[in-house]
Order: sequence, then C-alpha cells, then structure tokens
Amino acid sequence: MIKLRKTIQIFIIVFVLFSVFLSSIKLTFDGYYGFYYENQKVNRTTLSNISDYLYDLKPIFLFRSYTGFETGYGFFGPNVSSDFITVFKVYDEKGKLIKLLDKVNLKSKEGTIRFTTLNSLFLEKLTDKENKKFNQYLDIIVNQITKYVGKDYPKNYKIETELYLFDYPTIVDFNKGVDKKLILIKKYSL
Amino acid sequence: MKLTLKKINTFFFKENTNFEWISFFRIAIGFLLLLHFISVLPDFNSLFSTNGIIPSDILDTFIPNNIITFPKIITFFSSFGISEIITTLLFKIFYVAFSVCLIIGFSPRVSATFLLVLQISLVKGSSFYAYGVDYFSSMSLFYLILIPSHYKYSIYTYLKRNIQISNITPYKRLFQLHLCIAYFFSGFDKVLGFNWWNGESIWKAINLPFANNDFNFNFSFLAHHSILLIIIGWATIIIEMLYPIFIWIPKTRKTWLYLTISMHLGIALILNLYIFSAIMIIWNLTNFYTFDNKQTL
Repeated sequence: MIKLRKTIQIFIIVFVLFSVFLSSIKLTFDGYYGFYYENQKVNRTTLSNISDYLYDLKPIFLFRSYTGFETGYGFFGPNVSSDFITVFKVYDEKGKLIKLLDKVNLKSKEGTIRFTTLNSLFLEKLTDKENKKFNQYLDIIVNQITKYVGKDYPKNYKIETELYLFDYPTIVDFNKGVDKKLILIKKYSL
Repeated sequence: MKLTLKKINTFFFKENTNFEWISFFRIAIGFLLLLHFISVLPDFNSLFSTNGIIPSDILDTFIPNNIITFPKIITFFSSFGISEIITTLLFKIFYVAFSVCLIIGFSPRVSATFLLVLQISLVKGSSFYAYGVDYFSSMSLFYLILIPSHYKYSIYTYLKRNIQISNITPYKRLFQLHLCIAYFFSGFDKVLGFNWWNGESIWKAINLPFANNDFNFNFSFLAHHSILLIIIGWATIIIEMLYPIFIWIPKTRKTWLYLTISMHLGIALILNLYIFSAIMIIWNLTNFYTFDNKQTL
C-alpha cells in the first residue's frame, strides 16, 4: 500500500513538472519567434515543434485547461507588448459631439482591469493582418462594445469608437522631447 | 549512484511534521479568491453573463466543447427551467461559500475541487478578460486538492477530531520546484529580449496606459538617468533567473525571498496589479518561508 502510494506520488510529481516545463518551453519559443520573426515564415527548432505537438495533445490540453497549468511565466518577456486605447465619441441627434469617453463605464476597479486585458487581442490586428476572419471577429467585438456604450444614451444618438495604438517614446526620444502618441488603427460607428 | 538516489529519495519523501505552510496557503488563497471575486461583483453581469458587454455566444467562439464555461452552466440549468438570474445568484453564493470553507478548513479538498470548477468556468467563459492571477488561482486550487491542508488551523483541529496524518513532503517539493521553474523561465524569457538589456522594457512597462494610475509617480527622471532603468531591468532578470539556486541555499534564502517579495511589491505599487502580486507573495512565503523558524524547508 505504501509502495503504491509512493508510485502514485512519483507519477504526479513527474507529470506536473513535465506540464510546467512543457508550457514554459512552448510559450518561450512562441514569445521568441513572435518578437524576432514577426510575420515571417521561419523554420522552428525541433524542440519547438515537439513542444507544440505535446502541448496540444488531448490529455495534456484537458489537464492544463482545468488547472491553469497552461500559463507561461514570461511576464513581459521577451518584450513588453504595446497597448491600445479605445476612445468613445458620443454625438447627439444633431451630430454634435457631446461626450468623450476613454473607457467603458464599469463600476469596479477590478472590472476595469479585466476589461482592459481585452486590449491584448488587438495586437493581432497589427501583427496578423492576413488573418481576415480573426480581424472580422475583432470588429464584431468592438461593435458590441460600442453598442454597450450606446445603451446609456437615446437611440438617435451616434456612438463612434476609435481604436488607437498607444505609442510611448523610447528613452532617447523622450529625452529629445518627443511626447506619447496615439496612432489610429480603426474607426467604428453605430 | 546509490547515494544520489538516496539523496533524491530523502529530498522528496523525508517526512516533515510542520504543516503551517500549507495551512497558511489554504487560508491566504481562500481570502484572496474571496476578495478577488467580491471585487468584481459590481460588474459581474457586464463581464460574465450571457448578455454582457460582449455576449457569451461571441466570447465562446474559440472555446472547445469539452471546456466548461459559465454560459454553458447557465444553458444547462435553463433546460430545467431555472433562469439565468437564479443560476447566477447560486453561482455567486457557492463561490463565496466554498471560499469560506477553504478559509475555515472545512473539507478543504472538496471545497477546492468545487471552487476550481466554478473558477475555471468563469475564466474560460470569458477568457479575453483573464490575466495572470486567474491562472495562478487555478493552480493554487489544484495544489489545495492535491495536498491535505486541514492538519492545522482548521475546523477539524478545533473540534479535535482524530485526523490521520500523511506525508505531504513530496507535494511540497513539487510545489517548490514548480515555483523555481516559473521564476527561471520568467527571467529567461526576459533575457531573450534585447529591450530588457538597455532599460527600454522597464521604461515601457512603467509607462503603459494601465500602469501607475493609482499613485501617479513621476518617472521622467529615470529617462535622464537611464542607467537606473538598465540596473532595474538586469536586477529583475538576475533575481528571477537565479531564484532556483539562491532560494535553496540556507545562507541566501532569506535575502532572495525578500528580494523577490520586494520585486512583487514594486509591481503592485507601479503596475497596480495588486492581486497578482499578492498571489505571488503567497506562493513565495508558502514554499520558502520557514514557518517553524528552522533552517530546513
């Protein structure tokens, strides 16, 4: 009985550590190739291909999905991703701009933090312009957000959503007096 | 060879009767999950309901069928005539109840199992709103299912029931190694990016639109003294990559633990990611703080 228990414990230790290593290696490769070979077709290393294959195996997929072990541990590595800002413009029935909002009206700080994580999706819009279906999907999402903002206003009001890339100057540029910029990615209206 | 195997065996299986670390973990994670859940309750319907800001049928598009989500739970109960309002209310009640059960140590493994299902369904149902802390919460619950945590500071010890003690050292070692791998890769991923070598990544991170909104520190002086940004960047890489070495050496353990905790406090203050920082500090204290004031872990 003790031997069986020990065998089970060893199996669990090996399996969990394998899962941790697998996610770490797979997502490290993803981060590396994404950063240095963005939009380029590149022959990935054998280890990268093996980790991709194992990561998607059904038993591993189910285990990592139900336990959180799918996460990588890069946290801002190898690069701090760019962020996005959405600006909502509210026009009255005469077309006069009456309100400018820089975020969706949520009641809690945590709700706002969670909603902001959605912005990371828009990076795909810049990095994977070829993926038309996903870009259309993102457009649907922004349209839904625009609809939600419009709920607080009369039906004959127009809501315009502008999606901007937040571009903060590099250290050198900042010292030269360059200020942060908002680069318009797309405009949506409802 | 035999000696090495013996050492490995001792490392993983030597019994330790100090259970304070796992009790601390259970109580701290219980409180954190409860706090995290309560903090988003005012926006619960906007984010997670079927008719939220982004309706669930759109959010669900890329979710495989074998993954449980909150909207799927709603659909399941609606087939029995139970409305979304009732299901949502029950979901909230159970989430809070199971968190409280964890805190007081009432059937913690069963509570952690149910809580993991609820938490995963919430996170997967609206995966676009998920961030680091959600994955660490899920993993924490997984460890609370794996490791018995009711030996100390639980309702069972209060009622003085006869508790059968089992050897939990193997799982403690697993948890410790997991944390070491996590920190190593965290540092390794950073060192792969050239912007981490010249201070640009730190500069970019502290100036992200969601960062530094609570205290509004003026960091412009750092651009004039960019050497400080380079030092902070390299210090982060060194603390993380060398964590698996210095955290195991008794003489450097405390220093490395406090350095790592300081790093997470910095993340909390500057990036305003309080819950994420809190869970990382809990993981560190659980695994490498010696609760019984001895040097052994």
